[in-house]
Amino acid sequence: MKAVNTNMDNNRKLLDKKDILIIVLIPALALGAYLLRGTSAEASFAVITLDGTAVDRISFGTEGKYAYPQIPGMVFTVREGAVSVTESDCGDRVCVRTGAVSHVGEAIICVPNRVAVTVEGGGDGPDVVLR
Amino acid sequence: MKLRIMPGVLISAVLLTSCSVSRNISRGQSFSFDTLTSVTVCSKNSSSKDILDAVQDCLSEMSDNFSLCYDTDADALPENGLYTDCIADTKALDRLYGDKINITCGALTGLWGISTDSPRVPVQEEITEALALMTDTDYPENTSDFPEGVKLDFGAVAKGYALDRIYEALAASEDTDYAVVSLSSSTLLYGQKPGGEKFHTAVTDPDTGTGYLGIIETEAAFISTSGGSERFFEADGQKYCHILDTKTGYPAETDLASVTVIVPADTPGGGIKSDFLSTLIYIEGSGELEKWLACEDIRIIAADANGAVYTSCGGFTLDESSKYKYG
Repeated sequence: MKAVNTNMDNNRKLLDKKDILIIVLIPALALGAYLLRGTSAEASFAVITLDGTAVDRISFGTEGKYAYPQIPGMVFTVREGAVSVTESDCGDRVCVRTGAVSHVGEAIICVPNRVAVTVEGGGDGPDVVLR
Repeated sequence: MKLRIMPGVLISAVLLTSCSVSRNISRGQSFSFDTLTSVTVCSKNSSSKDILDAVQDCLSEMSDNFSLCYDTDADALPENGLYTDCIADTKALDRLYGDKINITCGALTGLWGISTDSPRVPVQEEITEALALMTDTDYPENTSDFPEGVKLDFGAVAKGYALDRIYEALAASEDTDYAVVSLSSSTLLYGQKPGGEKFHTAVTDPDTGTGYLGIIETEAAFISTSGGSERFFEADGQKYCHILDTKTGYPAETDLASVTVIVPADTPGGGIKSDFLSTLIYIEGSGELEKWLACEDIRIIAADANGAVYTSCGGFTLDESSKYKYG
């Protein structure tokens, strides 16, 4: 009993208030910096791929119509924070019918042309989208 | 005094390091199973690219084999363990859940051609002929033993079956931390994310085909969705969905807009089960929902044509910007 009391009274505790402050503060600052980086990241992008390989990455900030020589017959339109396929020479036109997509993770898929437009970036998106 | 700061700094350092253990992530996209597939693999060391390659090889091989079925009579298909295995798995599910999913409907699928460039509404005589080329669900073991003229269509089960095989491929490497394999309407969430974070899966709004019905928060799982919003065609002002009712020979007439089925990843054959059941529940319609909502081994999210959502999934959050409400 006596020995324990001596220990408690002793100033040589493993951690004191300052230590605990540092333990909390440093990771908190790091987390804060990490979160700030996340929120200040640029807004969403439309990533256009052909056969799984990226063709272009268009910021939603740059509105307009986009066409590519590798993908003749398709026109992509970025407008009001969303992307759509506005022209396509494919048979089923599922891609044009899909309309505009804006949520991170959403995609427009043109199976006949093997083209996909995926929304990426800005904020937390889901791991996967079921469609 | 300087020395006294040390314990705090040291503990902070350990905390920070544990947050940033170097992880190796590889991603890939490709077209298989008539859709966009995407694979993300996260592994403990530099092997994620190798694991990704193995998964993508597995996917393209299965996609090639299953798509072959549409143009070939069953008895003329090459002998392949993949078919035998998938037939056996489907047969087992048919025995458990009734025979509404029938993989001998290839001739019928071909007749409608709903996922092709030239879909059309066949006349009744043609439909009767196509139905006559189907067998019951007590399938023979091998493709060569099917009656003449029968064509196989693994559309209701192929993606789920493929995910079961991919689960095995991922489990074969001890390095795999977690993986997300998306075949559009079916997905495999494998392993554990860092810090025990859950997986987030968005379900597409079946009404608009864009935006989300809601988000599912789960542990590792197989998840499949069936619905008519994406693949359909219109003729004479009527919409025909790509899911055929093999009893009538016509596209499923259902009052459900989409059905999502979640099966825990450690369920053997969980991939094919989620795929099979999402199609079955969709075809059956809201009249049978009650029994599926009460099932212990699966979780479901069903949206009906009137904008009501029914779910047995605790981790599901409805997207407030969608027009759907809980029913």
